[in-house]
Amino acid sequence: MPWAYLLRRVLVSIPVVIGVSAITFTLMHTTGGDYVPGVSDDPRLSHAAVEAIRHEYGLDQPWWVQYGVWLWNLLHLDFGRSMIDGIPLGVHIADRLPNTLELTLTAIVLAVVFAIPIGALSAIRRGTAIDHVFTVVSVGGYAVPEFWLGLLVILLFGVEPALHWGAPILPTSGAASAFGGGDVLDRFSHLILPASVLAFGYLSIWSRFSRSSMLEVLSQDYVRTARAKGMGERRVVYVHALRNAVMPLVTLVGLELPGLVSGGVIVEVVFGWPGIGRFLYERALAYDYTTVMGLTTFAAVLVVAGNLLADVVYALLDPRIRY
Amino acid sequence: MIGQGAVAEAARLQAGVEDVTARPAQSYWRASWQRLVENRVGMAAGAVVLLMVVIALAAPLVAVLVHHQYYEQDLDNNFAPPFAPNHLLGTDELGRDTLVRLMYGAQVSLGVALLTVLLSLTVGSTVGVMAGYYGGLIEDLLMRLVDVVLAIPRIFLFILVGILFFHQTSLLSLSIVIASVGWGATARLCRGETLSLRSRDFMLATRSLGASDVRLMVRHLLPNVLPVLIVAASLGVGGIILAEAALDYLGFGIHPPTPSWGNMLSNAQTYYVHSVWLVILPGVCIFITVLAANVLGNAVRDAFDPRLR
Amino acid sequence: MSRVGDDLELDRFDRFLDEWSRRDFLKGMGGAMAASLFFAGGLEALLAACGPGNGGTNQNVKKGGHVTEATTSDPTIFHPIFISDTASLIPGNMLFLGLLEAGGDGNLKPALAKTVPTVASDQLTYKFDLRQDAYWSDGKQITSDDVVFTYDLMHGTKYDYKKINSRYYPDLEQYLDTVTAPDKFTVVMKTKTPYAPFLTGYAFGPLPKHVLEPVAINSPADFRKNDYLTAPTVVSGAFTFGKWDKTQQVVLNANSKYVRGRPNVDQYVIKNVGTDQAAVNQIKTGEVDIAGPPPSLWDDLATLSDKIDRVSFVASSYEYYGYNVDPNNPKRPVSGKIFGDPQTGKLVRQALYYAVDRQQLADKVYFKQAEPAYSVEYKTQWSLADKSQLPNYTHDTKKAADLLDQAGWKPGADGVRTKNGVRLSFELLTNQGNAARESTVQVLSEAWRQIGVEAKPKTVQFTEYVATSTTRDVDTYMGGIVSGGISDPDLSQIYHSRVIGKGLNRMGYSNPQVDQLLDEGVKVLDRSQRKKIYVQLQQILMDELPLAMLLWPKSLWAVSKRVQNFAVGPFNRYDRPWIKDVYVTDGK
Repeated sequence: MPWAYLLRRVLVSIPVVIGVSAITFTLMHTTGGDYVPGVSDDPRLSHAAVEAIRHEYGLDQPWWVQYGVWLWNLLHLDFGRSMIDGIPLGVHIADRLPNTLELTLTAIVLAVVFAIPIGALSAIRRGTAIDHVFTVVSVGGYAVPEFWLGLLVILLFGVEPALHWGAPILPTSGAASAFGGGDVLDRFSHLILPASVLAFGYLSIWSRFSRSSMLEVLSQDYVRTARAKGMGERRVVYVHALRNAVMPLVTLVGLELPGLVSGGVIVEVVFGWPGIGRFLYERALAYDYTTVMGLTTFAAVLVVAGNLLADVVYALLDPRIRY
Repeated sequence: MIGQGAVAEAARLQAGVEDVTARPAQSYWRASWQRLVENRVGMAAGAVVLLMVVIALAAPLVAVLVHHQYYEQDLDNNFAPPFAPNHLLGTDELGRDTLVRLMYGAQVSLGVALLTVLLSLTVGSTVGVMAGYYGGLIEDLLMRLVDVVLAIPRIFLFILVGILFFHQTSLLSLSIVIASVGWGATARLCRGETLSLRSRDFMLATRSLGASDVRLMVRHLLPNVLPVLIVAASLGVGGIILAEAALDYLGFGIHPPTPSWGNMLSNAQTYYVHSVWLVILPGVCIFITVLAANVLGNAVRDAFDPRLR
Repeated sequence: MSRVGDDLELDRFDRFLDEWSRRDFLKGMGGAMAASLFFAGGLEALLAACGPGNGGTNQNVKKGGHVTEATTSDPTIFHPIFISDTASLIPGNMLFLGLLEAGGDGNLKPALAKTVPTVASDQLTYKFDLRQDAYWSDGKQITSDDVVFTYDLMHGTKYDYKKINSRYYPDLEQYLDTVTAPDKFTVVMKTKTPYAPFLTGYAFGPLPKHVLEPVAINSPADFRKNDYLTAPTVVSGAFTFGKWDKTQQVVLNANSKYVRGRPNVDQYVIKNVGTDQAAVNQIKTGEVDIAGPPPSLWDDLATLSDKIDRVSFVASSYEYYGYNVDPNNPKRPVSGKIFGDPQTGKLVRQALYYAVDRQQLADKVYFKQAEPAYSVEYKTQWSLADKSQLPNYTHDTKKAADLLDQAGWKPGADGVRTKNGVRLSFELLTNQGNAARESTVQVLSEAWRQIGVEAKPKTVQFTEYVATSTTRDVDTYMGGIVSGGISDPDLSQIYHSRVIGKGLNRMGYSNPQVDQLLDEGVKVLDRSQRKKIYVQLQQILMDELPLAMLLWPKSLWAVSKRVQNFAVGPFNRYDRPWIKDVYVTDGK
């Protein structure tokens, strides 16, 4: 692949990131103004003290200076400091990003692992009871509010078993126990419920998608040819058809990659998952706008980088694409 | 639009399945409509959606008939179960009539869906068609703006725009919040369609006859883009209703005492132990409506999407 | 801990940070309770049974194991002189020993100080004798140097205290004269004028000078960002710092050098579960041992009485709504004239108060977990007037309507009363995330609709609520005030005219007589003398009603039966001198 193409793509991405930061800055500035959480409304602080703190955060500067300084820092990969606790956002992100990725990646993998066989099975057994059941579940699954599903799952696997048998089947909150938190098994048991709920949303769509692309493939000439040549039905389905049916799904999954950082906000809130999304949500409500700006821009950088990566991977995988 | 439907659409685009030829003839609409009507499942779903619309519109009438307004309280009679005297579907924590509140809730959920679709289609198609038509710097600027909006994760943008409207939420503000995410995808879709149409013979011919830009866009480009828009819109409705419920859950929804299915559901969580119907009823309403909207959306896509032909 | 009583400003702050960070923005789920942290208090009977002094009487005390307590927000910083949110107060007080601490009976008790000092005859000087057997967790002795160092961080000439920016320096600038150490175990503090709230509000426990002095000298502006304050290595409290998994949990370990002896449990975990609903779910699943349930789930927990103890008590908190009573409020002149009219404003305020059935509110919206309030003070406050001394507002719709008639507000064509072309219509603001409040404003609005008054409920996020009401861009607003520990009865931060637009005087209330009584109240050090002043204040304020008191809510706690000696009480919610006596029956 020509390096010029890659370079051009990277250069095009820069204005996008700047644009995101500008939009976020404008929105937060309009909302919060020069409000400093925990300071502006403290009755005890004298006017001078408030001014001093505003000065520390640069809030006494005109907005373009504030934005300029912020952007300048961003170029140095400095996402700023939280206005509430003064901790650099890099630290906040480093604390939480692994948790979020753990959750969203697991959900995506889970969804793919189930979507393909379910879709394939429905397609092969088209019109049978099993197809209908999967259809109803997946179409229905997409019509259920995520938070509602989460609460239901907590009741079914946590609260009710605990009431009847004395212990929950699975932990309902957090990413790890307070002790032995490094234990893989412990983390995994905490992961199951939130990841399943998150995966369910993807699963509903992807299983439908893989069903229809499987149907399409099964009616293709080469499948018919393979059958005609006397190839075993299993071999036809699993080797030829399935492989070809999976390819479009890869594209679809690729499109969800931006959701790796943000996709789980509601699930994170419902399950008390210590991730980025929940953090952004809380801080947005508290008008911690340096944090919100930093996080949003950070997420946008990931999205842009992810898209870039996806393009590159396609180019490498698909010999038909040439630049 | 918002929902995952949009993702599927985008996937299709990205996969390069683009093949629109010329302007749809009159017969296209008739044929599409015919196909839609013949889809029995789709029609049943359409009937359910229609029923919900009727329910929403009938809310004030029913409120008068049962002598309960959605805000009227009866604290001594709260948490009444369904089929209680005077309250067919029971009452909530303040003794307000659940039936009437559900019906008014339909107004919010469906109203937001409708407004959001209108908003994101209007803005999205305007931007997309203009970008595709003019090309050059205008296209670059507009499409970079779309890139920017699409680069912000969906739910982050909800939150950002949501807090802008803390002070006064309304159907319109909620729609703006949800549409702020939705218009970008529509714009991309429209631009793609417009690009493929721009160089067609009929466009060149029309232009050489001296038609103005606006006329060209409105009279000739838009109708061609319309099928794609209709499909995107109908696939998006279910997602919008869910998004509205999610906003309620996060606290960005419509303010009480105005009911919406989302805030009724979120409110009721605390009371599920003794009043489970308060959770079930709005949940079922959301479920049925979203389900019907999605099934209808699929039927519309099957019938109208030129790329499926 | 040092900070025994929370003065009102801190209360407000507690509320502030407490609420926005409690991420129960799910309206139905959580707010009602703003629960555990939000409802202060302690059950007297319970205190008598298992107060700190009695902890050791239990023969079956077991050593080891751990306790997990649910909270709904993360702490931010751990030493009390910097803390402004309740989520930080709990670990902060377990990590650091105070000079004084809160007794279960509402009186100050000695901690690092051997006795509670009494003021000298000059009415200004307080002498603290420190214990000589107290050590930092690294083995160094705690001395008067550490105490003086800590006050130097907040006030004085030694360091750049403004840059260090503790929460209390503006107060200390105003009230504190000097802090000196005549010898290794004596500290003498002197106020500028006689100041009654001093001991309750401003006796702070020390920070380790040997660890922190270099930072204070070299980079005062970075003092707050110093790692020590979020991961304190050297502490004086019952527990040492273990780890802090952000947005998940803080793990504290038993401190074997704690001056009162090592706590019974090995670890104390403060787990951020996100929402109150989640906290209740997890006490059911056994994932946490201690949680603050919302009133709506209180009865539900009764069915688990074999697993969970429920503790409830009226706490140092109240719920109120306030009127804009300033006719010159530039942002809201109309409602200012309605409620602040010199002739008829008071009648309108009283009329609306009469129209509210507070008992019903307590029973239905707070699920019987609250009492109607009859005074502007906490129910737990020692200065509370007797009910018979105060005006009595029994629910009376007819009287309410009569008062409005009397004030000249006549029923209009659309059902809303009018006077000189002005409709009796206004906004009623409250914060989101608190189900009980969101319900309350709707109940108020409905009650007032019955007497021809239109109140439009409006709920906004807590941060927004604070910002809007502090700048007085409100007609009426509903909120609450809570104190974490022992608080002084001083009401200056709410009713004094000098805090209009600055403190909690969001009403724009100005009454020279009240101002004078408030100023006098903080200067009189004798309790019985003081009480007379505050009773008089309560009488005036309950008659004038700039703030209308609605309820005294209860503090609700669900404690797993495996946890014993958890002696939470009205004055011991954050400040827990008995924490070392807590033990778990199963040793896990």
